[in-house]
Amino acid sequence: MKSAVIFILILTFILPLAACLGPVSIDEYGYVISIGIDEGKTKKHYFVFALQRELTEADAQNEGGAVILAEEADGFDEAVAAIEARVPYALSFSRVGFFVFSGKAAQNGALSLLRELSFDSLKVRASAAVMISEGTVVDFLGGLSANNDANVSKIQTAVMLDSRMTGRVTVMSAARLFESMDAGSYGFCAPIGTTDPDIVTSMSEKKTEAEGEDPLEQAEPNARIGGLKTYLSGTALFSGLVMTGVLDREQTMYLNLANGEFKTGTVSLDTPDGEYTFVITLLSAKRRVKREEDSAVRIELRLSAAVHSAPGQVTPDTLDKVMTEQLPSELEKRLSEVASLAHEAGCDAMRMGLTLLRGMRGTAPVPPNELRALALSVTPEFRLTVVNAESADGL
Amino acid sequence: MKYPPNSGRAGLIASVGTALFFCGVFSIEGTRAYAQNVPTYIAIPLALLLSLAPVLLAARAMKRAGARNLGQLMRFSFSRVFCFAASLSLAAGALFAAANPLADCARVLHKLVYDGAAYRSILAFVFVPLAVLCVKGLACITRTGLIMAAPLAASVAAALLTAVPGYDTARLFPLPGCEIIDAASFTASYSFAFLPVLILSLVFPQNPGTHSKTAVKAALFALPFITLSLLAVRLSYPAAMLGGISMPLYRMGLVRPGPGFLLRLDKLLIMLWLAGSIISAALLLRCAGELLSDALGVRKGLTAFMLALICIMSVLAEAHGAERTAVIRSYLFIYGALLTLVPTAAASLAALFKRRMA
Repeated sequence: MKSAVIFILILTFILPLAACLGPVSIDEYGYVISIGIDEGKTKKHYFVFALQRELTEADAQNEGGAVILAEEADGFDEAVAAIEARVPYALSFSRVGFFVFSGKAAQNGALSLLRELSFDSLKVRASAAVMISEGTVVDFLGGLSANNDANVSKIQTAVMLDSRMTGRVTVMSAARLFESMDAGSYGFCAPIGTTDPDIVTSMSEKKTEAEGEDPLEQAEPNARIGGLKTYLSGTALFSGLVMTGVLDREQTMYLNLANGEFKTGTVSLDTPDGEYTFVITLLSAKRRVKREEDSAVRIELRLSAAVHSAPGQVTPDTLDKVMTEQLPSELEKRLSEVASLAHEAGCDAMRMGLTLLRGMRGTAPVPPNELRALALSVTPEFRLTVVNAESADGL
Repeated sequence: MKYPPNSGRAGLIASVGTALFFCGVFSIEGTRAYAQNVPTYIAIPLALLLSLAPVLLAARAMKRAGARNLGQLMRFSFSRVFCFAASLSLAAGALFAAANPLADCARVLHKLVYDGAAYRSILAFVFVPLAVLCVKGLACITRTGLIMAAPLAASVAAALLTAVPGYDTARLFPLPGCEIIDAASFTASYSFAFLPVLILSLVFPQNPGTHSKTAVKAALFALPFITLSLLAVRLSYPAAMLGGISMPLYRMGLVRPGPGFLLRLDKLLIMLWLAGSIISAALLLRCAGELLSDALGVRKGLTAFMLALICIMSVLAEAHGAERTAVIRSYLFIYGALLTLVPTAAASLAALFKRRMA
């Protein structure tokens, strides 16, 4: 027993002693939290790395945010080597939270770079998110680190929260990109972001608290004030690794409803005569996918909804009718529009591949190209039922 | 110090169960299994149950012969030369079974955890507790296994539960449509992952008649963990990707969406699993060492230490000759069961025959 205890202690102490294996001081690393890829002017790509800035006591009054390092290069390793040659630390990619590609680069198939990178060697987690920027990557990342705040490191949490609360953002990681390419069971789509330089942030121009101008005083009337300059504006659709289409935020919500990723969100609905506008909260969605005998696919959605805002003069019966009759047919129409857009972009965003896969048996995995082609030949139909959560039946 | 006849059984069950889990889950040859769309979450647990058959035969033979352990059975059944040959064959099987989980853990530590640490440094780090356990003996190994069983079980449960957000049943499709013969051949060949553990556990001295219960209990302890782990891997990755991924059970945590403190749990898990692999390897090597030392007349601790050294050197060699060792490994998976099955079956049948004739 004594020997066993001693050996357990030895095993336990080995854990912290393991840090002695190839130890490196934390100062000798710069932790990259985001990797951006844009089109290069003189070389193939323009790589942008946002590094986490560690605030020391001496730097307490300086800007926080991220350190941006950028370099043109034909390949990733070339960029890293060029940057490491001019900074006093080595780049560590173990904290990379997301990749961002410019729209132009994505349209030219730059996402293939992710397939060329060795995630193991770089110690990048495959759960890192992939995003697209409408403008340049430098603007995108710069717009995320305003207000003297290292917001870049919180972006992944913010994206997931946005997706959960509004349903208007899609969350996609590098792992899902690899699965989409290797298994072909769904089309890849990534959130796309926009940078608005006109958004006024209170501290972005200040170097210290004691000096610099306050842009709030000089803001135009009715200016957009506060928050970050960069925000997610929709979803980029991909055919393979090439960006072929874009959905806006509302269309993204319908996409999430169709592919089962929706949690909660709101829709606005006008009455046919255009007199009233309702804002309805979709509280929950249950999705069921059915394959019909003629190989058609029907997506059945059962939504629980409540009125967020409605004109005061509308009666409860009218509200109920709007929610249970008008809303389902309107949503079916909108869902079909989004399905058509995805189909035109050659993207199986509604995951018909997964549905078709469920009916298959085989002695080997289905070749991804075959599955992709099959999935794109199917356009789903939608059948919606909306339950009014505030009615006696819905409660 | 003399221990009562059946003392240490709980530790033996826990240690053997741990070894069965690590040998079963960490030794899958992905290219063969997933390319043929074999349902590993069914085939491998079946392989475990199948590999109980020769062990139960040996246990029955030991009961009939009045042998307390496998060494006594072999001395009852074989001449000295055949004993040595059989021990050597079992030791080869033990070396292979011990090396697999260690190699997987060391590879993960080298590639994904430690920046800049040489592979041999990591193996040197692993060798010390392995060698010490091998030298100290079976009682120490089984007691260590008993203490570590609960944290290891909790670590596997944690790995499976934290990966839940990433599970999708669609990844189980297409449903296995492989020929029965292919499935049976895979299941039979995969029993090699378990045979060395179960057969060598018979080296631990117990009252005749209790060996079969110990083996069955250890198998039943490991079975749900093996089944659930393999199912979780299939729910996390489609078969098309699994052929090229090493140690998917560890990587499940790396593809889980979303940030949070659980994101860093994988590093703690791999250290716990390394400890489990060390205990499994120590059990196998010490048991093989005891058999060989009986045949050679050399001290048990020294034999076990030498086997541990050979095991670590073979893991190091694998890193340098990856393609060659991949070929050796694939052949061993097909034919390796014979290394452990043939001597055990021969000893059991010989003992039963001798008893019948006596």
